[in-house]
Amino acid sequence: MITRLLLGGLRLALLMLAVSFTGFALVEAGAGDPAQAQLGRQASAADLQALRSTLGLDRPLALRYLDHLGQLLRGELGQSLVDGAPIAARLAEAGRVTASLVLPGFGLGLLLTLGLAGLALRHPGGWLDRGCGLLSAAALGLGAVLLALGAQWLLCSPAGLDACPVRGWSLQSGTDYLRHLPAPLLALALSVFAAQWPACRALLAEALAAPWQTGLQARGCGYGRRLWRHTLPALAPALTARLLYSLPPWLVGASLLFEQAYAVPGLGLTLQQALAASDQPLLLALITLTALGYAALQALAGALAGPRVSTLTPSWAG
Amino acid sequence: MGRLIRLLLGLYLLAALASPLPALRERARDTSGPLAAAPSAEHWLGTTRNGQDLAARVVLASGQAATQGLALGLATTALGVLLGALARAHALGRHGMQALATLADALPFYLLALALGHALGGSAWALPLAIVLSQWTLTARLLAIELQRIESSGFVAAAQVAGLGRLQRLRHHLLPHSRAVILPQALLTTVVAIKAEVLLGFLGLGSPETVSFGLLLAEAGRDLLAGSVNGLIASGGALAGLVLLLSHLASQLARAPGPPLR
Repeated sequence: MITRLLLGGLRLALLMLAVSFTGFALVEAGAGDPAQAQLGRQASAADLQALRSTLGLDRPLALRYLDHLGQLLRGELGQSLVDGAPIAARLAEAGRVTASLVLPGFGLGLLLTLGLAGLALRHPGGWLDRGCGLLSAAALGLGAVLLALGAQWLLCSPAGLDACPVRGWSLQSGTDYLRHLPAPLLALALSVFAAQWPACRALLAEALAAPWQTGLQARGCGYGRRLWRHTLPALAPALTARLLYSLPPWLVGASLLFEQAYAVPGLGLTLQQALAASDQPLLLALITLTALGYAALQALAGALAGPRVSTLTPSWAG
Repeated sequence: MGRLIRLLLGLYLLAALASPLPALRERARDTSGPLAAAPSAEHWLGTTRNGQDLAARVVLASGQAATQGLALGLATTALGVLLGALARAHALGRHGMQALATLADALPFYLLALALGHALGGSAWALPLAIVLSQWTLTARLLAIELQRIESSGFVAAAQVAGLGRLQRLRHHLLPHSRAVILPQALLTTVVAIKAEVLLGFLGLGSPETVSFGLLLAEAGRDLLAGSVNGLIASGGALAGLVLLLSHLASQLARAPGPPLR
């Protein structure tokens, strides 16, 4: 057991090293020459060389990576090149905004999926079951971009209900937040439902058809009680592993797309701004931390459920 | 249902054939039409806020998405088949494939695409490269499992006894009988490639020269706020039709019977 845990830990550490090195190398490759960028085209070769030496750019990539790793471990993320703001504080604030956008959507989507699966499986193959299957297939076919725009059309445009604003997302006041939330919430919940319905329904249907259900039925246990008191708790580890596996890719995609579509100043928009401004330290911190968190969650899901979940879960594809 | 599928297939095939035509490209970029016009005899789907013909832009985007998506789907599947077959052929191949697949799965796809775009200086090759590098893993894993299942069949043992080598068995028996995995995966990867292009194009990270669904939907989003829904309905309908068609064909292929035993 201890050997297995140690081997698992070693494998995870190696994976995280490989992931963080890949992110570091890609950001460094796109950096161009920061010394030239700082001093301009008129700078002399000697000045450029001196600045490169000061910045440590004349050192091999592997050594610079080790420095970066050390800084990450000490929690030193540096300052943004654009406005000089501390990156850690900026990411914490953007992370809070992203969480306020995507977590309610994920939670509502999950509740919708499990609730509808529970109701639909009372009569498998009935109108609700088939309707939910159709809705999930249609939402998957439309994709997240169309869902985001469709919700805007329905709830925010003059052609629809015109009930909530698209721009101006703010966490300053609860009323403001609640006014902006409905459109992205609807689209996010539908995208979660679309992705999770097939697997959650299959898991639930399999558990409801298991032999131990007959014993519960013989003791007079009704459908609702069997579902909520026995079946869902029994499925909790499999569902948790599945969600842990599907949450990270969904979070990255949803954050990028919905923050752009609804002008929400979260991590996705910060990443796009960092790319547009070539803000190297901010990019490095964002890409490395996201990739590390992603790898850790995937490894945890794999450890919980094994390859059955990790190979059959569709990746976030919009 | 079958007729509708054939009709849709024919329409997207026509769009793919028409998309390289200079006349169509010119019409899609021409801004001399009326601004944000409703559908008419001259502009079947109306025009954008810049006066561009929406029908020409949707046909061009459909053709681009179908051809580029299919090319990427095939390239990604080819890599997955190669690595999946290697994994079954040799223990070293299996360990190598698993290590590579674990690394590829551990990198968030959109982050990889953005980082590659940054590393390659905004090159148009960043997205195709990101798709091929990250989406082969499921095909390789499913194929390795399928090959293992087929290898345990009697006819493969008979072929071995008859003197067929490992490569011959792979070529004549294992891969043809794995088509229920390979062909649907190629189409599903095509769908992934199309959706990835749509999302990155929508974020403004695609090529501005290419009339793609991502670009059309970004324009439709801006038009929507101004009260015009033509763009969203036209481009959204064409995109959803293509994605649903490919997904349907993939599920049909997965259910198709394998080749007769030889």
